[in-house]
Amino acid sequence: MSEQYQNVTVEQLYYSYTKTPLIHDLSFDFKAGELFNVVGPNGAGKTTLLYLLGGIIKPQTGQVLLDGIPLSSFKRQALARIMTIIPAESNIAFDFTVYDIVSMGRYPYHSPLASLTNNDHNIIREVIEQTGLTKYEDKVFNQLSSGERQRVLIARALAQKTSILLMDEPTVHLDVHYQSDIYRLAKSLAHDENLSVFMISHDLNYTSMYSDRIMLMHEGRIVKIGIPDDIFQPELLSDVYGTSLSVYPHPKTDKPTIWPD
Amino acid sequence: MKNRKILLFTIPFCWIFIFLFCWKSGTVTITWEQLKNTVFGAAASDQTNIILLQVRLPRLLLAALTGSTLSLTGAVFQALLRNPLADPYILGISGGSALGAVVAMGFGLHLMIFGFQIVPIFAICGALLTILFVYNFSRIGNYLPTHTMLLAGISLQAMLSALILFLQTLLDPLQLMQVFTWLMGNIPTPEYGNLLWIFLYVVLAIGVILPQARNLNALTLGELDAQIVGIDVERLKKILFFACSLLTGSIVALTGLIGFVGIIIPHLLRLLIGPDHRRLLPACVIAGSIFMVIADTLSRALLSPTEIPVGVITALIGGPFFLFLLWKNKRNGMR
Repeated sequence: MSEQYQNVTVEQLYYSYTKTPLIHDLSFDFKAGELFNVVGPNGAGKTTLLYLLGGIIKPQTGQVLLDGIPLSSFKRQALARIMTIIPAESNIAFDFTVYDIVSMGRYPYHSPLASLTNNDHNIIREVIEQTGLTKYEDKVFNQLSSGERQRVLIARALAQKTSILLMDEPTVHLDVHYQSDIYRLAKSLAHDENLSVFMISHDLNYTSMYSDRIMLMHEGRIVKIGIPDDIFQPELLSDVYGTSLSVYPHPKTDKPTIWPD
Repeated sequence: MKNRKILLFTIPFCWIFIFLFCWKSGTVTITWEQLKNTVFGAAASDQTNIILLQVRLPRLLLAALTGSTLSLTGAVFQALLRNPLADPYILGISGGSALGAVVAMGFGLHLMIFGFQIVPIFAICGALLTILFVYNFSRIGNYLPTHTMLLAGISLQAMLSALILFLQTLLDPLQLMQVFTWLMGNIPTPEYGNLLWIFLYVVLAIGVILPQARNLNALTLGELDAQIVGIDVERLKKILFFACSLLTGSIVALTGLIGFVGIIIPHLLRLLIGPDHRRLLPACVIAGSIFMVIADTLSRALLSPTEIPVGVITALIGGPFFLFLLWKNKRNGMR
């Protein structure tokens, strides 16, 4: 795992596709060992921001820095050893197996003509086990449920052994059991393995339970950045989400939980 | 693993046997003995030598190149567009090549300039212009929506066909006949000089495409996913577009429009050896050439001495076979 390039700084990022800006003058940072969540209503610009952070799209002004080095100065393959994205969903036109797809996570470490080493295969098996996919290893990706596919994409990202992980609503297709698993995994990657984890989440209660810091976005701008208690204020949330919401402490953990009125 | 090794040994022998068998088959009966004598330069009659070396061999070699090219470009476009039914025809690239070639033929540019044949060059340029148009027309920023690209390709193919028909009305009867038989899809008997040029183009393009096999695997999950695992997608697409134009243009210039091979062969091979392009692409080169050599031999031999255009053969073998595959997949509940 690369110990370099763990801290991400965003400076006055601006991106527009039509006349209305999608991302408007954003500045923030997140660090190694931190689970940094982004919440906000649909169309707040969360996924656009994730693509800007991942270098998939280029900002009109402003920049993203990795430990002070501009993102734009990295080659694609080098960048894939530093950061990876878990997309919201993927599908494939052909019958690749789970193992095939997870092994693509090792591509950044080799030239196109090289074959995978024993070390690669060990890493692939390890992340397949870590994501509970061992019995699906030889199954065809397209024949899996959307929740299982999501875990394959997570396994592929883990196989890249990056220091920065960008997750785009990873729990959107998962049932409760796996939702908790994913949040726990994200938190453990940040706290135990010292990764920088940036995660877009739609589930405010899970975010409240697991997140270290939360950024609330609305219409391409930052509303507030802070710990769960700072962000989950009834007036603030009701205002941003445009519906009346209440906040109560969780009976066991005392973390704020969010309920519609 | 052991099966694969056996396969690797048997395939070249099968290939050579089929090639030799097709070489000796045709209107004039030639025995294995005569074929052996010609190959080893022993005394065979002049007539047999001419039939084998001047008439049949260059044509079989061109058929092999054509089959490899059509299957390989089919497989590449299917991965690029993430659509199992894509091929150079659907994207209008063959149409672009054909228009380029018709323009060159119409102006009587059968000549060479600096040793380059003009018709293939026009066809390659036609292919490249078409793909650049379809690609740039369809893309939105960094994003290339597949359905827009397919629709743009289909519309362009229709317009290009219309232009080809229009140009045909301007040709004199002799040229018209030539262009007409060519468009139906035929393997002609090329001169060795032309064959060498086409061979060089094809080898160059294959040399560019095969090392990208792994990257094509990642691309079948989509451009975002390919970028995530570190592939410079824009560069990859440019390389592949260029190489496929080179392949399609140089082949279409000689053989016209031969359908179905680019869809059938990659499909069949995916069922046999799986979707991994590191195996699929070389397999397309080999299986495509065998298929086309057989199809061309049938086109010569079935109604001998009359020839059936090979495009008719590929469609008549390919169409039902393709339907059978779809039917089988449907019954197996696969996709």
